[in-house]
Amino acid sequence: MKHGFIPLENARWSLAKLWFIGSGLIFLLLVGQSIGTIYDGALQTVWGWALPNFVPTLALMVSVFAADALKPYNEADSSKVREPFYKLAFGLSIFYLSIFLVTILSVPAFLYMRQGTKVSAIDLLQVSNLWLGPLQGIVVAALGVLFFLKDEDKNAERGSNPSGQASNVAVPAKEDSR
Amino acid sequence: MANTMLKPTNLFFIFFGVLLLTSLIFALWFEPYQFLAAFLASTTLVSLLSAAAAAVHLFWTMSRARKERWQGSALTALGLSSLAVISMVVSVRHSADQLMLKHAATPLNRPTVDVRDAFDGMLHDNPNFKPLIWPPPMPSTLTNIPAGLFVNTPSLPDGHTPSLADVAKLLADALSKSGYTKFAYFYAPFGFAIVTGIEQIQEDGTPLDNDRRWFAEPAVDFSIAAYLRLLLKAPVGRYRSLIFVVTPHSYPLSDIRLTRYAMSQLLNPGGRQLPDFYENVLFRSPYRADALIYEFEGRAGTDPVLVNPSAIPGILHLKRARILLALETGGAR
Repeated sequence: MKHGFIPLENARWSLAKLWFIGSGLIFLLLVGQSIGTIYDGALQTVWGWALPNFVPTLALMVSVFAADALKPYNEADSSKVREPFYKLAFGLSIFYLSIFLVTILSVPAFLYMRQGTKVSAIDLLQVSNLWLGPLQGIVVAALGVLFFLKDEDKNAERGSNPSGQASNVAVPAKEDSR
Repeated sequence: MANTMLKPTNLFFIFFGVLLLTSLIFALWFEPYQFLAAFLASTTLVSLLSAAAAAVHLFWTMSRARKERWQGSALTALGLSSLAVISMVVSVRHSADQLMLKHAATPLNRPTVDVRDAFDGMLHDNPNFKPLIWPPPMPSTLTNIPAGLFVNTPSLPDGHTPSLADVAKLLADALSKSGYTKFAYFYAPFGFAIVTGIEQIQEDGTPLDNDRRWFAEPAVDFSIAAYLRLLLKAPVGRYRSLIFVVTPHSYPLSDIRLTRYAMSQLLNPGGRQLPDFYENVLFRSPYRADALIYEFEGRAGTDPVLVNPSAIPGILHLKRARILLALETGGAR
């Protein structure tokens, strides 16, 4: 099976767009709910639950982009990532953000199904850690490969491997070999 | 000395004292609220007998040679006769009060000692029949229930004046027909009170349907509008409880503002039925029936607080709860 490669930079930006748009929607929804009364008396609990689920990933992305923001773009140094792995990371991110959003959007259904009992929206959010926690671990593992790779790592890999190829992240082959 | 001890006057007093003590012991065997009547009647009898005996002795003294002793006999006869007359008058008045209470009169705004004794006796005989906290806590609104609903009801014969027990039965039947399965009876001054359980209502005062009516937490609708509302706002519950008070007294309302939880606890010590005593008390002026409506509102997870004043008039609460309709049909199913 033949697999292509896509530039790491493109992969990173695509994932960043997905994460920032998804997290932005969730953030705005939570702000609206905070202004309302759905979480009245438990706002700190709600934000304490929500923020660790997407802010660290966003911060990681921003820090990586910030580190390369003032560097000139050099085609020769452009790393590549295997397309299947990129699709895996992208798919996992979509799935995770969707589950996160659906958890918040399912609060009315949760309250309807348990009406007459002493449950609140906070109970659902706290229970959701059972599925969001493991998912977050998997997503972060996939994103970490794409965002944690540094220049030193790339140089070290070139030194040990003349082709400069890592397992998933590869540098482009020279033009003679095409 | 022996003659002094056996003086007729002394004998009369001894005789009178023994009879009086006997009647006192005899009267104590009756129920407390009948004690007074029994004691008065026996005192009258004893006094009459003693007065008669003293009068006989007076005649005997005057007809004998020892007329100097006639003063003692005369005084004794006069005193015992007076006592007999006084006890007879008091006894007749007491009997008249009892008669009024049973057949025609209702307790006055200043009830007589006998009427108060009657209710006190009823409370003594029915220790599980507890008094409602008085004055009643501040309601959201209140209304008077027209007396005609109890007097002109189809379930009672024409011309029959209902008793308080009849009024209680009509109210209980109306509550049952309206879906109230939980209510309790309490004593109110010279009357009674009925406290209902707490139901959930809509904004217009109409009870929710079926099981959701008795949910302790806010019921939630399933619709797009409800969904969007619940995304941003916590569900709010509206609750209602009723207290029907039947009493001849005018009464103030206390400053106590109950919460929904406190209202739910109010019901627990209530009795499950009214004592039979109320069958003897007629529902006539100045008796009146009031409905105190307690409306609560609060979000899920909180203890809903009293709504005061209610946006819904009291009579409309009874109408929306279908209690008025049930009273108008008079217990017929």
